[in-house]
This record gives sequence, structure tokens and C-alpha cells, in this order.
Amino acid sequence: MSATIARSPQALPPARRSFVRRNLPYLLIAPSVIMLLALIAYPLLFALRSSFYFWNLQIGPEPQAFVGFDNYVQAFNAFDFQDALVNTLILSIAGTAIEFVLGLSIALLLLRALPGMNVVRALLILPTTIAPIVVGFLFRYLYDPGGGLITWLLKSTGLPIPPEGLLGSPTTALAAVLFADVWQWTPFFAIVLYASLLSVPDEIIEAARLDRASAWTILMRIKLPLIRRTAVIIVMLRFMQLFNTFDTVLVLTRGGPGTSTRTLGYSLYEQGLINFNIGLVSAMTWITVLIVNVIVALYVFFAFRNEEW
Amino acid sequence: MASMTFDGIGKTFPDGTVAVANVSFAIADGEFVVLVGPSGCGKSTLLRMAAGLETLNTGRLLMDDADVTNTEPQDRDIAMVFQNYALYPHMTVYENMAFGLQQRRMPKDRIDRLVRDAAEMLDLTRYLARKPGQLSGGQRQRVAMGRAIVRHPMAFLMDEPLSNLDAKLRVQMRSELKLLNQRLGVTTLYVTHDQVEAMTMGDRVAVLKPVQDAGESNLQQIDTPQMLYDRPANLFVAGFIGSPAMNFVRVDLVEEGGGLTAKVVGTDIAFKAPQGEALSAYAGRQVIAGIRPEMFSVCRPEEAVFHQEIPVAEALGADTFVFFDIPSPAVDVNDAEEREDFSRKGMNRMVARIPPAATPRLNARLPLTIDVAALHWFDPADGRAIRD
Repeated sequence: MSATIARSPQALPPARRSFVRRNLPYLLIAPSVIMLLALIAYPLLFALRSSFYFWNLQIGPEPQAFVGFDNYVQAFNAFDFQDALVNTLILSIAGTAIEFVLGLSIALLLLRALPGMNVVRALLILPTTIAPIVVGFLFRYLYDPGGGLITWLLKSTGLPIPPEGLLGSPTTALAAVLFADVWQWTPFFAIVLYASLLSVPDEIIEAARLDRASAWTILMRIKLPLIRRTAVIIVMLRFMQLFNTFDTVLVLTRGGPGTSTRTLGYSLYEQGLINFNIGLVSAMTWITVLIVNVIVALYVFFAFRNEEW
Repeated sequence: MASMTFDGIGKTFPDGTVAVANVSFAIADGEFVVLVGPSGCGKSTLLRMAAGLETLNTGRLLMDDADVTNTEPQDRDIAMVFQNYALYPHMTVYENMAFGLQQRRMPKDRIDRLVRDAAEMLDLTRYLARKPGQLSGGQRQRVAMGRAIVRHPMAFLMDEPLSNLDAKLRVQMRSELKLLNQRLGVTTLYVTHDQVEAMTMGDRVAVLKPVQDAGESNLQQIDTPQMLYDRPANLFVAGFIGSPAMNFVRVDLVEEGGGLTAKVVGTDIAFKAPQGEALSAYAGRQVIAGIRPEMFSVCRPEEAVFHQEIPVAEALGADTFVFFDIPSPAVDVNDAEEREDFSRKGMNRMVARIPPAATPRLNARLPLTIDVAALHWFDPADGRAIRD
């Protein structure tokens, strides 16, 4: 068959035809590969190279001196590195966990055909569609020590509010940042988990009920295992996003007070776009990339173990 | 083991659809009862109500004289086999069977023994470590059975458990299920739309029909398979039970020479009706006669009651079914969904069972007589059987 086609008069000259044919798969994936290389590999390698130089844009446009691993040493020893790392870990782990649990609870509620659930479903998507910067501004007003709604609500329920405001006190600032993120991203978990819970057949749940399983057992041993793949993936995505938290922090607290809400993302921004310390920020980028990848690799290893995909 | 009583059960869905109305019957301890009927007759809804998965609007459900109408499925101690098996896809065969036992906080070694016994009984021992996705349809079906029997429940509920199997396996599983029921002696309620399955498996069979409003009852008749066949209570049961289905013809009953003669409406076909008080009361009126395909026999042309051209003959080996049309209005038995009506307009298609040797040439006329004493008679107004 193919021979007939190849000999047809419209066919390309043999040399060109065979080149196209032999390399067709590569030609087809080439655009994606080129994009990936240009947008991810090149910047990362550029940053890797820069991280070995002293290079401050305020001094000059070209790298000023090769310094070996000095930038890495300086990054680890920076006054804010440890705090930023701890804050980032707290924010990412607590944020992902809280959002997952709350999102799952909302998803389970949505499954109940309660009146008004259609409206709730539609409203739920809203916070996720707002830019984090806007969420930041929104919560700045809500947290305002003078007349913010959240401040007022907490006060009227008799909870102690630090006099400098929720964002102004080192004890509450990180929790306040976390809360804004939870507000924005819980619906994302709710909607994705709701969609995947819908795919669990009713008969399986009914069979479990007849097997005398309690609602809790059905959740833990039937529903969650069946939506495991989706859950594993969105938890991973959300963790990686949270690990890079920067914009909400920028708008809400600028990493303060002190270093109490400083994240790795915010430190990167400060070194790169305020101090223009390209060499140092490149080293910090690489440290962050490595930490995220180690955590995600461990997570993937444990989550996907014993899993047939 | 338990008896089960349905007492005036009714279910109307929120949109006003009446699924089940006025169903009352009792299942004895250890009995195998089959619910059969066309789609929409409420058989699955009834079964789900027995399981507690569906609430009822009216009536009561008793198990061993205890009212379980409002008992949650968890607390009913019944096992159900679903049409698509509803196995837990992420668990192995072993875990699937053990799950229900684990919920009872049974010691591990006891669970292990029960699961292995059940697996042995169903020939599943080799597959205990596999997941449902790695099993064939027949094996999955057996796992679903295993999950039910391992718990030794008070009753089994089965929702068309064989309908996803191929024809050969279905026949084989039919007898296996029946044997299993006899061996375990567990009360079983079994739903199917296949009347052959119903007839072969049930100690008793309940024939159900779709209802339009809450005043009717889905339950047409509940009896042993043979009684349903021999003494159907009405047109619906008569038409539903038996394969090929019973032939129905409209006849005018006329008194002639001291006896009753039945004249088939629209034709000059006539035959003597049997003597009987009930039927005599219908003299001078129109009734419906039911003729099973096996009530026909080939005869000499001068004895023939029906003498029609045979356009279609189906040879099954042991028997041959011949089809012919008579120019008489067809009788609607109200199960149009299940039986396609192939009759031409104004014609009534009949089917007769004859010995293969008597098969006529295509489109030749075949003289057939009928066993008049074995005919069924029905009142055309309400479809009820006319019997003494």
C-alpha cells in the first residue's frame, strides 16, 4: 500500500520525502520542545551561570566577577533565609492541608442535593478567578485595624486583637496571610474534588452501606481511595504554588513585621527586583528549585508507590 | 435467615411518577422469590426498598415480624448483588469479600477463614490477590456473590445479577445460583426481566406490571412457575410468561346446539368452547381466547381449525415454530415495550409449535387443530381470566 502512495506523481522528491517521514514525530513535538527550552531551560541555566558571579545591576549591566559558590554561602547565611524557609514551609504545608480538608468537606456537602447548591457551586468559583494581588488588597481592607470587617468581627466575638492589627503583629501576621490564601484557594479544591467524587458510582457507595460501613469508613476507605489520583495531583500543584507565594505577601505585609511573614518568594523579589543583586538571587532561585523538587519527588514517590497507572 | 413481608408498599417519586403501588406479598424463610416484569414495572425499586436504599411512601416492610420500614441499610443485615456488581475497584478480591466482615469488628483469623471458605465454594481461591479490573465478567459476578454470601446475611437481594454475562455463562450461573440458594438456605429476592430466568430459578415468581396511578397494583400474580404458566390470573401474566408468548384472539361466544361456539372475530374460523359455568355466563359476548403455541397440533385438513399459509418457520431442532396471520384484530396485552408487534394492520400473528417433520413448504397452508380444553379465556374489559 505505502509503495503505491510513495510512487504517486504528487509525492515529494524521494530525498525530501524520506527526511520528513523519518523525522515526522520529532518535527511535530519540536515546537513544544523549543518553547520549553526557551522558557524554562534557558532561564534556569542562565540563572545557574549567573549564580557563580557577583553581578549587581546597580553597578553595571555585565557580571562583575566570578565568585564560585560565594553566592550560595551568602544566601544560606542571609539574615532572613532560615525564617523565610520556615515560613514558606509552614505556609505551603498548612495551606495545602487546610485547603484540602475544607475543600473536601465542601465537595461532600455539594454532593448532597440540598436546595440552593447550584448557586453555591457557581459562587464558589469566584475567589479562584481573582488575581492574588487583588485578594491581597481586599484582605488589607478586611484586616484594617481601624475598621476592617474581619477585625470588627473578631472584636465583636470577644477575641483578642493585637493593637497593631492582625497584619501588624508577628504572632498573627503569618496566620492572616495563610487565611487569605485559604479563602482564595479552598474553592479550587472543592470544585476539583467535587468533580472527581461525582465519578464514584452510586452502586459502590450503596454496596458499602449494605456492608455496614459508616459514613466515615465510606469516606476513608471507598471515596478517598477512588479519587486518590486527582487528590494527589492537585495537592502537589497547590503545594508548589504555595511554595512560591509572593504576591499576597507583597501586598499584605511586605514580609513583615520583621521577618515573620517573609517567604522565599518574597526574599527573591527583594534581592532581585529591589536590590538588583542578580548573582545572589540566582543562587537563591536554585536553592528554592532544589528544595521544591526534593519535596515533590519524595511526595510523588510515596503517593504513587503501589499504584498502577 | 428471615422471612420478609411487603405490606401495601407504595413509592411515588417527587416528580409524581408512580413507581410502585399497593404491593403486598410475603417471602417465607429460605424461599427464592423472583420479581419479573418489563422495564418500568418497579421491580428494581421494590428490591432497593427491601435493601433500604429507597424510602417508601406507603406501606410497611417486615423482616421476621420486625418492622424495618425506616431502618437504615446498614442495620438491615442483608446482602445485595448489583447488576454491574459494584465491586470496590481499588481492593483485591480478598479485600472486597472481607470488607463487610471488617465492619462488624470480627477477629482477623475468623474473617480469613470465612473469606477462604466462600472463595473455595465459588472457585475464586486463585484470584484472591487480584483486583476486579483483572477479572472476567463471570469471575466478577462470582466475587459479587462471594461478597454477599461471606457475611451469612438474613437475606440476599439480587438485581439482575446475570444480565451482564454472555448467554452460555448465564445459563450455567443460573443453575449454580439456584444450587447455592438451596445449599445456604438463605431467603432470596431476585429481580430479572428475563422470564426464562424467573421460571427456572424461582420457588415462586411475582409478575409485576408498570402502573399509571397509585390506585393500581404492580403485582399481577405471585405463584409457583408452573401455576403461573398453567393458571395465569390475567392477560398480562398470560402474555408475559411463556416463550414464545401465548396467542390471543378475540372471539364471539355463541350458543349453538346446546353448547358454546367461539367464532374468531373477523374470520370464519370457529371452534367449540368447553363447557363451564364461568364461560357460559359470557354467552353472546366477546371474550379473548389464549392459545399457547404447544396447544396446536397438525391434523388432517378436514379437522383443521386454523388452515393458513405459513410465511415463516423457525426450526429449533427438537421443535419447529410456525407463524401465520389471521385477519382478526390483534389483542393489546399492555406490554408493548417488551414484545414488538410484527402483525400487519388488521392482522393477528399467531405462532404454533409443531414437530419438525410436519414443517410445511414455505407459504403452503398447514392444517392445525387446537386442544380446546386447555385454552385460556379472558374478560376483554379487565383482562381477568375466566375460570370456574
